[in-house]
Amino acid sequence: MLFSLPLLMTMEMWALGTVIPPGRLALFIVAVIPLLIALDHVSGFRRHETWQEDILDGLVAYGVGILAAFTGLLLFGVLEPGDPLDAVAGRVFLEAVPAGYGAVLANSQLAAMDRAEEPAEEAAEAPYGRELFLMMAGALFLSLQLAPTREIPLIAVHMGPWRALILMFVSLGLLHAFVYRVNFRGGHEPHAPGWQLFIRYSAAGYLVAAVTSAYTLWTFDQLGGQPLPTLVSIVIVLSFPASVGAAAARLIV
Amino acid sequence: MADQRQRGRLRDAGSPGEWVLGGISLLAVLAVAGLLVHHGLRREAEGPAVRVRAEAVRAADDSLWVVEFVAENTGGAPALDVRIEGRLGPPDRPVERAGATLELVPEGASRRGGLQFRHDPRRHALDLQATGWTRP
Repeated sequence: MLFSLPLLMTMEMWALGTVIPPGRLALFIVAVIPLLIALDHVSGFRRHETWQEDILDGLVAYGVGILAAFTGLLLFGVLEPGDPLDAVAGRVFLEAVPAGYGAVLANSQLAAMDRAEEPAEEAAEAPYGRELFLMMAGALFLSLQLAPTREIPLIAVHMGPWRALILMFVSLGLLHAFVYRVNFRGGHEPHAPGWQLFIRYSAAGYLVAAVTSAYTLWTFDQLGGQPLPTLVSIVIVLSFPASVGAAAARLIV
Repeated sequence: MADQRQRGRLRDAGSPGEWVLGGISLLAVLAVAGLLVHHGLRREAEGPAVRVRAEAVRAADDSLWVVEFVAENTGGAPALDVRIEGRLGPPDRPVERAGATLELVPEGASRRGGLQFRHDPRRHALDLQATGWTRP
């Protein structure tokens, strides 16, 4: 509930739940459920022995999301008795995605408390793929909160190309500062020179954040009918919080 | 312990895949930067220019007609709060007026909207125009 409340109380999400093309919504859910499962595997509540348990937990997280979304929307009066079934289903299934995501992250926070005594070294030595996956999960967490809002395209237009250019480099710099800092964790020197970390982690992490942002924007129909420079600027605007999410993924997940 | 150090050293150098992905990312950032610089230079030279045309006229009921329009920004910069005005009849004795505001029409793009009239637009001269906009 904690993670889904901002979107449950966002007007654009109510409208999107009914106008988003069913194919796009289905694709989004199909893409997010394996992500919940993988996220649960990486950060799960319990130390799982099998993937079956992770799959079950991922599905349960989405189920909890559906319940939280349905209850919340009913309470806020967004859903009324007698609403067409497809409109109710569209809204609930869409809102259930961030709610389910929140359920996994909440579990992960509890798990982190339980595992507080474990050494941080293990996380610092995570494989590259897992590192990028965590970045993607962190980017998705923040971009989901903001992608449906009308402010994102408006900010991009107000900023214009020069500020968008600056914002892109600010995001990249911020991401690198986090990556470098995490590498310093535990008080030891970073294993690789800064420029190497920049190319392999910060630049790649920014690409992951930008692609994640572009996908969420496309899902919420924010990119249609935009000329290429505006489209790029919109993605850059959302990539800013997404980069912060990607950089802080280890703190969130 | 020695194994761990060895693994650490291998990882420090990075696999070819890591370098390829990092390289693609850097190239993408540079390409986007180039696009924004090119667009920024062009945008300073040109402002917005919005043209409106009727796309369809339909009767909603006996006393309500809808004119669906397309507003296209052929200029080089986005237009905000674009005011669209529709007039039925001759300019000196208009039968009816209707208006709409579009939040944003990006450069080189179009947006759709509708004007509602109580008179049948097919029986009168219809004039559509964008009367104003603001720049971001």
